[in-house]
Amino acid sequence: MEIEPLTLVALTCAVISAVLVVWYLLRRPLLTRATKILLLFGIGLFPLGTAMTGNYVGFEATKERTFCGSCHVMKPYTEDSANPSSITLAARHAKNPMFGSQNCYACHADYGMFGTIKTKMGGMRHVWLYTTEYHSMSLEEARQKIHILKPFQNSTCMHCHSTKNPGFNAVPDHGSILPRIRNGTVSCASAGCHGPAHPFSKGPPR
Amino acid sequence: MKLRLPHISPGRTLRIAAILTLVSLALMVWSLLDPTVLPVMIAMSIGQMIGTLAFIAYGWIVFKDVTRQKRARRMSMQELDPPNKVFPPDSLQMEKIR
Repeated sequence: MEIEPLTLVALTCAVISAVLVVWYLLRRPLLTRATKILLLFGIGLFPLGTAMTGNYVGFEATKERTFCGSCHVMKPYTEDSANPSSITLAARHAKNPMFGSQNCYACHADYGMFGTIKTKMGGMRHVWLYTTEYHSMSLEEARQKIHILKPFQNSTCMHCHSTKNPGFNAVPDHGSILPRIRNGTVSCASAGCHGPAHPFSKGPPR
Repeated sequence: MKLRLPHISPGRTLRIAAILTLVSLALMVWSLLDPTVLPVMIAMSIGQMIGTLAFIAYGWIVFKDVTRQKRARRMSMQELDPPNKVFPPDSLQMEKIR
């Protein structure tokens, strides 16, 4: 099991803090200046270190495909995405080291100045929906019911595929509908173009 | 209506704060070792809330202890050197002569 350096920092802070706090609980010393300083580290500074590094590690963990797949209704999507023999759009992007194990986040994140915050807010909505509606739903039922909230934005694809390279425009289907690709009226991820992105993709509800 | 908080001794409050710290640390460590939805959400919300509560309790006890010590020091200084000290008339005379 490989441990990230920041995870190690967070765990070390937690262990030191726990040792100090347990020592205090077992020995019950008088509240002298030394005890106050010791508890400042045990209750304040080291737990703060764990929380700060833990937050960063946690936010990074939320970008991982395994994190998305920890809700059972997402399993078919993440399994297909991680399948090297799958040729769906998601799987093909997962094979690219630039996306790798964070391919769900790379394609479904909002970009821009407040993109990360908007993405996390959307993620909170997913957690709420999962907890309240999908938690006990069977996979078969979930496949029928789960759908993307709004149409997938071509602007996300255009972060990498700028649509300005000669090679891109040399493809007849690209050249003929280039303005519609750029303004998003034709989706890159639609069936017949490069989609569907997942084997069970459905558009937003009408 | 005046809100009355239950009286808990400083030592007990600190022990509760220490136990709360251990609980919050456990939740945060759980999220580090198993970074899935439930542990991460719990660590970032409940875990950090419990940790903050523990630190506030610790801060409150230390603040009260420091103010109590300051007050006790001030009281002892006043006992040693009372401001309205009355000198006997003879001693004043002696000062003037010197």
